[in-house]
Amino acid sequence: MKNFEEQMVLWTDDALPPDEVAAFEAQLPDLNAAYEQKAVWTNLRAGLKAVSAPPPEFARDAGFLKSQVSRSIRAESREADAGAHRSTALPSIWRLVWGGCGLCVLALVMAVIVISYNDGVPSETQFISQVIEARSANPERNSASSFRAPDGKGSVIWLENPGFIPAQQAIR
Amino acid sequence: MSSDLACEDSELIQSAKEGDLSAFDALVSRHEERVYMISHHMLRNHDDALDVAQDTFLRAWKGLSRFDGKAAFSTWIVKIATNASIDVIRRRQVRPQADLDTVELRAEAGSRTTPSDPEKPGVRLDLEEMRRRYDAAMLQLTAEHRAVLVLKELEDMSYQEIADAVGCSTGTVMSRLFYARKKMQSKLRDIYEEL
Repeated sequence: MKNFEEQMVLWTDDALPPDEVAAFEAQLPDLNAAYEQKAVWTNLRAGLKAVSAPPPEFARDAGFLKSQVSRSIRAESREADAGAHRSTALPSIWRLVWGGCGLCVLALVMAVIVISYNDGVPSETQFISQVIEARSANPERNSASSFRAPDGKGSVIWLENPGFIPAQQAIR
Repeated sequence: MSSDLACEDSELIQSAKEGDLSAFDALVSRHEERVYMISHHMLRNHDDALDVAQDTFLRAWKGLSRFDGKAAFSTWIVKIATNASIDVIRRRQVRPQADLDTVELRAEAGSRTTPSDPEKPGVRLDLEEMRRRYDAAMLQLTAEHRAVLVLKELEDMSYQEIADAVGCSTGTVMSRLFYARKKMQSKLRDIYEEL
C-alpha cells in the first residue's frame, strides 16, 4: 500500500499504474492545483538539466582525474609493497627478540648456579665440627686452618704452633 | 552497446583484480565523466567534485576484490560516488552555513545583475543566473534529498536503482524525492511563474 507521498511522486513522474491514477486523482483536494504543480516541476526539471551540463573546467582538466587516480593507486601500491616487505622482515626481528630472551634466560640460570655455589657456606653445626676435626686431625699441632662463618660475614684463622704454616694452607 | 560495454567492463575488472593497473585505468576512463558529474551535481563545485571522483576510484580500487559482479560496475561505482558525495555534504553541514550563505548572496546579487554581454544579451547571463539559483536551492537540501534528486532527475535512474545506490527502500526514495522536489519548488517557483 503506497502512501500519499509515494503516489504523488509516481503520479508526477507518470509512473503510477493506470488503474490507480483515477483513484489517486479523486482523492486530491484540488486536481487543477496538482496539475499546475506537476507542470512547474516539469519545467524545473528541464531547468535543472539545462544548468547541469559538464562545466568547462571539466573539459579543461580532461585527463587530470585519470592521471591523479593512477598516481594515487601506484603510490598506494608502492606503500603496500613496502608494508609487505616490512612484514617479511618481521620474522628476523622476532628471531632477534627470541634469541635475546634465550640469552637472558641462560644468563639467569648461570647466575643462579654461581650464586648457589658461592652460597655453599657451612652451617653453624658444620662450622664447629670442622673446627674440632681440624684440631683433632693434627695430633702434632702443626697446622693452620681457615673457616668461614655460616653467615659469610667473617672468617676464623686457626693457628697452632704458629712457627710453622704448611704451604698448602697459605692464607686464603 | 551497453551489453558490450558491460562485457568489456567485466574483462577489465578481472584483469584489474589480478593487479593490472592499466585495466583499471581503462575503467576510470570509461566511468570518470559519470562519476565526476554525479559528484558535481551534488556538490555544485568543480574542485570538490574532482576530489570526490578521485576518492571514489581509489575506494573502488581498494574494494575491487569485494566486487562480485552481480551488479554492473557502473551501478557499483555510482553507489560509491553517491556515498562519497553524501559524506562530504554531511561533513560540511555540521559546519556553520558560511558556504551556503555565500552562494545565496551571490545568487541574489546575480539576480540583480544587468546582462552586459553585448554579443549574447540575456541568454548566457540568464543561464548563469539560473545556475546560481539552482545551486543555492540544491545546497539547501540535505545530503540524502540531494542524492535522490540528482540520481532521479539528472541520472534518470529507476527508484530501485536509487534505493540500491543510497541503501534504503524505494518507499524512502520516493518520500525523499517528494520533499526534495517540494523544497526546490518553493525556492525556484518564481523562475517559471514569471515566464
